Amino acid sequence: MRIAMPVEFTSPSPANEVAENFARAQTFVICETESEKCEIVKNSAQNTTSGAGVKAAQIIIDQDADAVIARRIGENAFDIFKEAHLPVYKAEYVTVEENLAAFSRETLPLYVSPSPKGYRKRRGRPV
Amino acid sequence: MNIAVLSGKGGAGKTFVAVNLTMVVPHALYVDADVEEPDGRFFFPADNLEAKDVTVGVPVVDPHLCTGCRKCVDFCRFHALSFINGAVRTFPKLCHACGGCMLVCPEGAITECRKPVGRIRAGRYFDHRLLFGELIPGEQTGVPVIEELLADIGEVEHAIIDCPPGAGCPVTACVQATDYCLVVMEPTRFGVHDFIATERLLKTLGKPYGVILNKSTSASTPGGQYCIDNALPVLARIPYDPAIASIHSEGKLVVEENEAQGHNFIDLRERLQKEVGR
Ligand code: SF4
Ligand code: SF4
Repeated sequence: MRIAMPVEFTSPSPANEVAENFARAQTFVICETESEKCEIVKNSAQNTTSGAGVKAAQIIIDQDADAVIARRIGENAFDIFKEAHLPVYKAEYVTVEENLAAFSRETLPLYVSPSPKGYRKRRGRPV
Repeated sequence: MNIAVLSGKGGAGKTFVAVNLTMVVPHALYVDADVEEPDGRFFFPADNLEAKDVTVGVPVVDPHLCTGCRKCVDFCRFHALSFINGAVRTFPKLCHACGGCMLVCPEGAITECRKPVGRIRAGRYFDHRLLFGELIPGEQTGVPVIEELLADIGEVEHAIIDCPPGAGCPVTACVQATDYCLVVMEPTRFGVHDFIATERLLKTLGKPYGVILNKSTSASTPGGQYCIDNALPVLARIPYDPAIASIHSEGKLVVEENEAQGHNFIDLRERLQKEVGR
């Protein structure tokens, strides 16, 4: 299975933290559960002014992911994943590795509705 | 003369200037184009308003004609389209109604359906015609409402347009339809900073403009100094006065309640006529 997670790193490492925000994360890590191989995909939606969730979800779908693990998920991305039958799990641990392990143990909760609005991780202005 | 009343930030006093200026220009049309926060209506006790909807064209995809080439999805810079399970899905809330997807679709699979995004109410107050624009909360852009408000502004003798704040697309839509821009500036350093952003837009659009210093505390302020340094016409100064603020806050017109301000706005009208006539 291919599991996608938002991260803030450009080279894959199991110790990387899962990012706070889905659509505005710098990159996505896509992990193969069988081979334990991970690859990084750039999130070109990161600095768009409109519809970041739609675009980010599209990137994940085009990567043929089977599931998503995220800390927060916006309404538009949630709707797209629902329509594409991609389950979204809540990241309850800090790192990619810990969350993957919890996913394999089937202990991560599934999102049944999008996260509340109005949250945006504080960061500098995009340049 | 068609005058756009604008400011770099909200709360500088655009509506205050626009509604009171309207009253001293005989037969002037007042347009509330601040469609995200329309408050001009509170100053004119006009009832029997006539309302009409403003609609935009959002895309509808015919799944039988769509071949899944994704040209529309790649084109939409607002990410209002996505491609899921072999079909195009639309997000009307994100759509800016640019019509581009309909043009790029090689199969002619996309047609438009009308969706309401706002409302325009029309009324009268004495010899003034009034137009109030409103955007439906949650909609992406007020530009379609503003364009409809200003559609026949060229045929009006005098119009005062109460613009949205900032220097984005809605403001640009207002400025393009007018002869002259009146920028309301709070004469603080903060106000100067916002003014400079507005000024850049007006220079780019090549529109003549003048300044009103609102909430002016003394003869020498950062705003006043900026106007001197850059040789900008200051068409009026409105003092920082709780009496004025209190009249305005009750939804009353200062030109009707305060004699000194009545004269101030008549002077403003005269200076404006000279500036526009140049
Ligand atoms: S009309 Fe423009 S903004 Fe709306 S979906 Fe089509 S391309 Fe995107
Ligand atoms: S451009 Fe037309 S044919 Fe291509 S995916 Fe969009 S709707 Fe379908």
